[in-house]
Amino acid sequence: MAIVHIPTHMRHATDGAATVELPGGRLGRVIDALLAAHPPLRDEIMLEGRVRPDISIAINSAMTENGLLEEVPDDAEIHLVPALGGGH
Amino acid sequence: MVTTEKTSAYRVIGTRPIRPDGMDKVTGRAAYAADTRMADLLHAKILRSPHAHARIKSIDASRALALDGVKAVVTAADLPHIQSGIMDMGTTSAGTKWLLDNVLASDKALYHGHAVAAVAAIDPHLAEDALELIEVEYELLTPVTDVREAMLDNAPILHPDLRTAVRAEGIDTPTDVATNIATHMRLERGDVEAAFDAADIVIEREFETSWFHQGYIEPHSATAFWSRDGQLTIWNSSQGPFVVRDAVARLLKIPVQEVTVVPQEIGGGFGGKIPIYLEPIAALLSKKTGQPVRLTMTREGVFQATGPTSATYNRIKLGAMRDGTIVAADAYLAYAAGAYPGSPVGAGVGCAFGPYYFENQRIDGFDVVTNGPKSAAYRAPGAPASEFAVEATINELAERLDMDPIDLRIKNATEEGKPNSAGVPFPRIGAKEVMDAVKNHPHYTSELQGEDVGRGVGLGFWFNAGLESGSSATINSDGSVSLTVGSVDIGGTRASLAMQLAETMGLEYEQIKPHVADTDSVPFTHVTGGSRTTFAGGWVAYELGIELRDKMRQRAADIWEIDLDSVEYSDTATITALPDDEGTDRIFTFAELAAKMSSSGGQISATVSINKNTQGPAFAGHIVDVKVDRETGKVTVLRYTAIQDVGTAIHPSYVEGQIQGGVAQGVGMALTEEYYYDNEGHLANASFLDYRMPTTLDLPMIDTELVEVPNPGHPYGVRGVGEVPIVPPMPTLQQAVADAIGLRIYQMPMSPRVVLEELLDVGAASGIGAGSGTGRS
Repeated sequence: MAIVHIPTHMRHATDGAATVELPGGRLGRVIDALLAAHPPLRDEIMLEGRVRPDISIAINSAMTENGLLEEVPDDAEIHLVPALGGGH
Repeated sequence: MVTTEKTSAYRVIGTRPIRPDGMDKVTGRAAYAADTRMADLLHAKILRSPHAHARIKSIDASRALALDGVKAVVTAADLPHIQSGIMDMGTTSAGTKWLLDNVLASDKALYHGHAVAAVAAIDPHLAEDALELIEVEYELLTPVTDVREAMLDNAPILHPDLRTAVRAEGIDTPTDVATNIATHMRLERGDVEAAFDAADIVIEREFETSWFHQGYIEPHSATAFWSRDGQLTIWNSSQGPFVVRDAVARLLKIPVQEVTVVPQEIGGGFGGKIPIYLEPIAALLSKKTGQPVRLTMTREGVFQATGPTSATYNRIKLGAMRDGTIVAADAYLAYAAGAYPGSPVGAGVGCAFGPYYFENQRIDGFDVVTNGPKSAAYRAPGAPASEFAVEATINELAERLDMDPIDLRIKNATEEGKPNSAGVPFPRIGAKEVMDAVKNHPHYTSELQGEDVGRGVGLGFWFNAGLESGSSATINSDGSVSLTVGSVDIGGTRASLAMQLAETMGLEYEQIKPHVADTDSVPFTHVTGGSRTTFAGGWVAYELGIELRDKMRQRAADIWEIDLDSVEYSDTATITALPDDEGTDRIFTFAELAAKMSSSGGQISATVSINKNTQGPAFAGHIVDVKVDRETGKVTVLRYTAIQDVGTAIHPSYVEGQIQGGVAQGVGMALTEEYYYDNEGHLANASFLDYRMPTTLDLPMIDTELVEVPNPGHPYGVRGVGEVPIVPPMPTLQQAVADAIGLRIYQMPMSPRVVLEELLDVGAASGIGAGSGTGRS
């Protein structure tokens, strides 16, 4: 199972869970599964139907390059990373 | 200059050819945005708010419009109504509504110099005269320019609808009251409180940094022509023509394909030319008049209304064991965003502890609106302030531990596989290599001589961005190659990209002709910023080269009527196959095959787009010697050495130039540059005369040492180099001043006034050369 690491500021949306385990596959499907398991995360991660521009996603040590089409290995560790900018 | 030269396996990479745009730039022939000329050109000027915080009750432009020769006036009422959305600005993002309000103030003017209206007239003097005829009725409001004052419960509120977005767990920041705190974010790992309790030594310090402007030589300028068939063309000075195109389309609610941005040469940007200010105004004026309109900022306007980077208040607490292991770290970072949310505090949070791995750490970041210009990206945005605070505290900790400050850093250095502050493991990085190079550098080991002289060291970290780039390349019949890129050339990227294409294709650098194109003529390319262009553009050049090599092999195979697999392309661009049945050699030089293109199927070209979100992080270590004048408080830089992991130096001279430029700007932050606001929030030093940037007369030759730990995420090992060198100067100079006069100064810049006041304070109390600054243990 792939492990999604939830940043501390988003854990209110996962009932405090720091990680969520999900099957690998396309990143888009992994995110869909994550949001299905924890619907309040949608506002934290998505905007206008896509991943918020102020959120980056890393698979293992690499930021994704193919967006939601990226393949997530079953043993991957996924990090949701706040972007470089500040607030909006 | 000291440069470590490596024995390179490359033919072109690592050499120092002349940049193709150099001659035009040094002879004044290069065309910049303000040089744009065309028939019926109108000249525009902007009316700016004289108040730092005021409600705009009415704007009456009738007298201005009645002036003969005045063609149009625009105000915020001419802009579309936008309430929500976030725009991707390349290395940062921005709220669409805030971006629009910053272009032209709608209900409130939020800083001294906020654009309120603009006039287009047949000459610039007439436009200036017309500004004086526009009557704006203001209701004055109390301004707040200091970040800590803006965070108080009773502070004047800039945006009544603003509520704190909390990106942190277990905190009590309210989210349901009007506030100036736009965001409170936190990154945390381990048990910080328990680790502090267990530490042998705990040290806590507070720091302040001023607003610093990017200080580019060329003011912002944009010329727009909105033709009668609906096509809007913009000629401007920008770090990202595609970002400008997309932002203008979104702000003016028009389709992207109806906007073309033609980038002109750029006279510096450093992040400050990523936001848009003038383009929508020039466009609207052109639409109203049916004529092209040129709008160029004054220097005063540049200082008042563009950039700068955030003023900050930061508090750092470190807990260490006696052997130097830092077991706990806590950072509180408050960044003034200026008039609208969006300071670089997120990057400040991410970078604060960048060079180190601490098991227990917590970083709180606050994005706070204040009555100043909206902060913009500035070279490693957000990193210099937070890392100054951390590095200075580490230097002081080393003193408390009686340890060499570099040994302390090496003991706590991060490395490949260790998580960064966001939890993502580092790839191969050169943090330790840089620290070792600092420790072994002749500057660091040399003896310091003289009275009131001191030495300092400091480290720096920056993520480096990747993002999207696209280019096309065409082989010409004479064997040259035209390379068309979408990246504006600020620091020599025409050369660095051409060199990587030449390397890949086995050609000479001079055979590649690079060209910066408009947004209709090249694939989408993100901003020239984030130290990304030589990295991401180099990836594109590499892939273009591979594709063109394959196409040349295919063309040779077609001519020789053999399989593609039988054809080889050598590292010197010779295309060969085994001799034919009659023993005749099959060989083309690149030029020979290029000459046959039109008679064998046509020209060969390629277009490549990539999206590389990961690139190698950068680390830098600086050493400085200073002398402090006890009579005037002036700090003179005697010697400066900058050491940096640059991955692979594609063009070492331009890498060294980037490092030297970053150091110069960092020295300005540390010693002379600052915004002066009076009690009413007026910016009092909006000129280069009064905003004191270092010149060549203020700086010694800045020596560089290039450490090359190739980035495994790039075909040539490139890491971005332009941003991290601005990070170490503030803590490095702070330590040097402390070493020279025994005073630690916790506010930047350490201007002569500040240094002298500190000296006088201590001299009055206990004699010059003793005591401590404003920090507390």
